[in-house]
Amino acid sequence: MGKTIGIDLGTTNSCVATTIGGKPFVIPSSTGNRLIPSYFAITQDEKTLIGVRAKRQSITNPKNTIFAAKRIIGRRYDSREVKIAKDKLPYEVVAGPHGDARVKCGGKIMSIPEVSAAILLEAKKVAEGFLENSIEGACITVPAYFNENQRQATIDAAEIAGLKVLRIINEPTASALAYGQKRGKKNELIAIYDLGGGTFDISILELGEGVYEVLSTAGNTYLGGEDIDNRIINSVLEDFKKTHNINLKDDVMAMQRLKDAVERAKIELSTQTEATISLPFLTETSHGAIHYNTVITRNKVEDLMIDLIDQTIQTCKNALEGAGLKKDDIDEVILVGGQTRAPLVIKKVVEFFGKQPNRGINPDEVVAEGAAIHAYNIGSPLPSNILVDITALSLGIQTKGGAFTEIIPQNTPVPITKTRKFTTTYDNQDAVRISVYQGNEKMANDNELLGEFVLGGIRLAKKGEPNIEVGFDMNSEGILKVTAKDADLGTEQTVTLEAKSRLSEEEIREMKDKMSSLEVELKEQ
Amino acid sequence: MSPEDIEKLLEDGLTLYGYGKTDDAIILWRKVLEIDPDNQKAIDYIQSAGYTGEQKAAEVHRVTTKDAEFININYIRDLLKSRRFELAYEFLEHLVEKDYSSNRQIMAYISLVKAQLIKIYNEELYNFKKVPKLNIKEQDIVKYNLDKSDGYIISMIDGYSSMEEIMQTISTVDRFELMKRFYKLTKLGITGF
Repeated sequence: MGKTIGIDLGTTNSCVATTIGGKPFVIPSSTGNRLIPSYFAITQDEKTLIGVRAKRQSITNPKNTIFAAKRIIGRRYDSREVKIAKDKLPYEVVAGPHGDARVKCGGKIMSIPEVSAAILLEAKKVAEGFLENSIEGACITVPAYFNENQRQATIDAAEIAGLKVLRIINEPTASALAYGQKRGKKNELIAIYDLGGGTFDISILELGEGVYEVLSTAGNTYLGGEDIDNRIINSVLEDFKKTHNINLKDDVMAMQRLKDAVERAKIELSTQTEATISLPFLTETSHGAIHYNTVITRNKVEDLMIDLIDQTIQTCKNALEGAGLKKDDIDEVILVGGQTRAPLVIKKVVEFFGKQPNRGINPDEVVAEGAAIHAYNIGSPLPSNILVDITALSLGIQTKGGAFTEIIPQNTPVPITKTRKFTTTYDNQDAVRISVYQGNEKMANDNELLGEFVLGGIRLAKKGEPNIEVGFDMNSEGILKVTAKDADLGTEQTVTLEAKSRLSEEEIREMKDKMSSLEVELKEQ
Repeated sequence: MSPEDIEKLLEDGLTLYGYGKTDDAIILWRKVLEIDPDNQKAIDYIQSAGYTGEQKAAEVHRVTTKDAEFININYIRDLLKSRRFELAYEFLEHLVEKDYSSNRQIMAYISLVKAQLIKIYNEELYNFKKVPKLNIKEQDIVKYNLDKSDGYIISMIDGYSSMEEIMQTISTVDRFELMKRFYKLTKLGITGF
């Protein structure tokens, strides 16, 4: 029998874990790395690189290195999120045949689930290599705010990678599960402060005996450790310009080295007050080579990042409000994500919550650990924890003037069934189009379109007279069923919503075949 | 035989030549001439490899050789005889810079010398399969006469990636150039295994 694994499929880094004797265990790669950078690249000689090696050439091969695919997975090409991402990403994002966002890499157009599948494939390879066993199934984590399309696209990615998905679970829930295994059996309210490479999330959970309930969640999808790296890099570039009168920005080899060095220095500054950056032969002029040496202090870096950390604290306030709690109500604060090792982050969290964060868990690995525990529990005959999740985004329909009318509000525990009454907008209207959206914006088009259908055969009457009941039924897996009913005639239309931008079964099969060939290629490398 | 097959025979010949199997290489190039008697690459390779028995090649040589080039060609032949391939390659590159790039024979020599150098690099650097390490202290690197591409290669040494894997991740420098630089860094004692 194969093993089960948990995968934290992150924006900048991913992590894979399993369980040994029911306890979580993070699986290192053959080179000892416990994190897999979520990078995919195709080189000039058409070799595929995944993980560390793809990341280490990301600046010298920017057009063919895909990273942060998680930002656009399951998104429509014309969505606001894709427009924002396009401005920030160095690679080309194009429209797919289903209106989905795709990327151009190595001269080929790839779907985002295909890119994520490559990262999952690497995680699977690491796990199979270490465990010397096949993988029976995986729990994969997603941010709590992921909508249905994004969750479905993540499931598609796993299918392309040849991984059986046991469950998709929310990242804060996974963290709570890993923390929960180490705590006593008391009731607690916990805050999970997750500052990763590219995103920030805060979630408030209630942990009872075997029941984990998410009370609220909030975040910023464009705030993470990489923003801090970029600020340090810009500061170094300014310093270099001042000293040598050279703008290094156009020198890709120099920029790649600088990025790597800054990342290392930042990690060093978590435990030391200063770090040295030494880059011999960084660049050259007609007068010869230029070596760059500098010392970066923790104080300087903290000055560069303090406003970003203050923003996260503001989001913490919003999450507490969303849960109807005060900060004193929180029993434990769990730090997740590598960036939370920064002393300034810890200081700000302590100042805000008035207590020291829990130090018993590894912030880089806790999400994967929780996913591994959950995967193990699913296959275990023993009673497992009950996970009560919430809708991180509101669900509703488009109404008059393109407005978004909420039916299930944000932070509602699932499963949930809710109904709301609507009516017609003109006389003798015999049909209505029900367009289902998910998001927190006031206008429907600014949210994610989940699906559309038409309810026909409405009683002919003056506008405003017919009673149309729209019911939303979301199960604990996050699958949404929408019903529209003419309450006067009893005419009913029910649809289970599937992502509009989803890949077709045939496409998934083709991509799966391609991925199997890649798997063979990677094994030979 | 398709043009791709002919190209493959030419390439295979270069590989054999690179491994010192000149006679076998010439057999392949002659096979090309049997199918395509005017194939200029095959003619140039046979001629540059020092094979004088090929009538066609000798004719081409007489027609295209100018005095200055003749002197250069003789100098290259001397370098090759004394197995000073790196110097020969540098000299050939110098000739290309001096606008000899249209000279087919010089271009053929470049292919031949490259093949010979690749053979040497592969032999001495374990086919690039070993994981390189830095043999000197980081602060001492600046004492050497290197450039930014060398600095970049050194920065990619991480203790677990082989030279081949490092080369795959460097798209800004040509593969042969990378091999040459790894060889130089090893010869200088900056990197080892």
